[in-house]
Amino acid sequence: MRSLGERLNLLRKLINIRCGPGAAILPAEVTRIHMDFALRLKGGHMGARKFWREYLPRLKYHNPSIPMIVNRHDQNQLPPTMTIYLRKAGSSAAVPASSSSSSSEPIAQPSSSRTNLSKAQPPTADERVVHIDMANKHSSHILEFFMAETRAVPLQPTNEEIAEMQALETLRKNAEVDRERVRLLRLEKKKEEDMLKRARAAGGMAEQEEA
Amino acid sequence: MAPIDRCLASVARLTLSQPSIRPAVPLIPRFLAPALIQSRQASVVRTKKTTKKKAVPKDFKRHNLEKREFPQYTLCDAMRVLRAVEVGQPPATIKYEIHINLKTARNGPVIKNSIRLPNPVQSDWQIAVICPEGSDIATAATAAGAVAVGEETLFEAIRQEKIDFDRLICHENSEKALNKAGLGKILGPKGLMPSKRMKTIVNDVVKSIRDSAGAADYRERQGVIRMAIGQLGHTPDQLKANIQALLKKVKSECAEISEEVSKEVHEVILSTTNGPALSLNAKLNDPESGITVESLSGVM
Repeated sequence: MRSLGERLNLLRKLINIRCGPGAAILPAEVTRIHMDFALRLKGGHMGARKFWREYLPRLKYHNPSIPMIVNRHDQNQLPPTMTIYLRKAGSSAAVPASSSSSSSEPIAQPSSSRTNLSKAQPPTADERVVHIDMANKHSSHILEFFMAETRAVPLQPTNEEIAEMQALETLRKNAEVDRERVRLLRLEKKKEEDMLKRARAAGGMAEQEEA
Repeated sequence: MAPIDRCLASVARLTLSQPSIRPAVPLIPRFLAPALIQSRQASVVRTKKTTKKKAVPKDFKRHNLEKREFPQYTLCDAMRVLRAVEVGQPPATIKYEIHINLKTARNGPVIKNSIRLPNPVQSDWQIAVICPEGSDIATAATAAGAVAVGEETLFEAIRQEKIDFDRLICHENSEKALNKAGLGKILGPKGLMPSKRMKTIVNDVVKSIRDSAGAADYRERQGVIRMAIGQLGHTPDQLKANIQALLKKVKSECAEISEEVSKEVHEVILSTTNGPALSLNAKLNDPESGITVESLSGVM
């Protein structure tokens, strides 16, 4: 069983999904996000995967109600694309009515898939789509595009959060030093034990020969 | 104790052949030089250093979470974090897991049972039935959805390790045949061996199939009950229903089992397949957190 302190430090690391690049609040007109890329990296699909791995959890944390669908497949020749569905400016006036209707829309959108089962759906009547081509782009580059297209408001970390992250960083560095020190200690101990073992084995042989 | 004649011989040798082997004790008065007088070391029996291992405590260690101010989450907060971590994963394959830490002794009776959750996690169990071949029971069992039915054919398949089912039910009439077949070695480690105690040797096979189809097993290991409690696609209300059903059952079993030992639920932890483990504080939602149940209900 893990000790309470260990568990606490693991929970402290959850600050990484609250703060950092990608922590932003999307405006209300964004209805859903769809990402489409291959399981393998060949053909410039790495940036897309890294975006999903690094930034999408933060976006999802701060916008829990916006569906973010990831569709992965094995067709590397297709360019990795991101589709952002935005509510049209005119219909955003009737927000309560259209939001209830559009919130029922994404149910038609199948959830994330590893086997190319949830392709991007065509936009509904009061939606427009923005495509971002993610081929051969770095994930941070994709994030810049994404922020510009959606006009999301990035969240700045508070002073306490910055202090917490720095504390975690020093903890990580100290842990690395300690790990190395303990590794050397254990190595030395093991070396001595091995030597003793070999000596014993050799001595045992000599005694047998004498006998 | 050495034999007395050998001692005598040595004494004789000492006294006879080497009469002056003992050095004359220098006559230093004790009060003058206490440091010079040597105590007899050889005869001091050294006590062996026995480092006694610390006795393992009787109970599992359980910390007081309130006293330590350990962070605990409401169900919605926990789901928000877990859904963020699992974003973009196919929701049918990712499961919510629950870990119930019990305050209990290391030895003694353990909790082991199965439960039918209100919202099943996995519904397509593959069930095999041992019953007399070609009987009415066999046809009824196949109709109820069993994948394999029979006696000797099934035993032969099991002996060849062709096990394509994950539940095994035995009819009472076939119990003798099962015992004779001696499959405990193969089925035992897999936890498939039918027994009366596990209620897998039954009279009414069809009812048992229907019961166990949506049921999930759980058992206490090292003082913790772990089991899958929901799919990632479940809403907070569905998950809440599942957790409540399980906790109610576990608590009633704890009350039942403890005659002399006490057993109680200490902590409930929610996690997912790839996610962190978050301790729950028995509340559904905190109005201050600014998230709603609806926002966590939609497609991921």
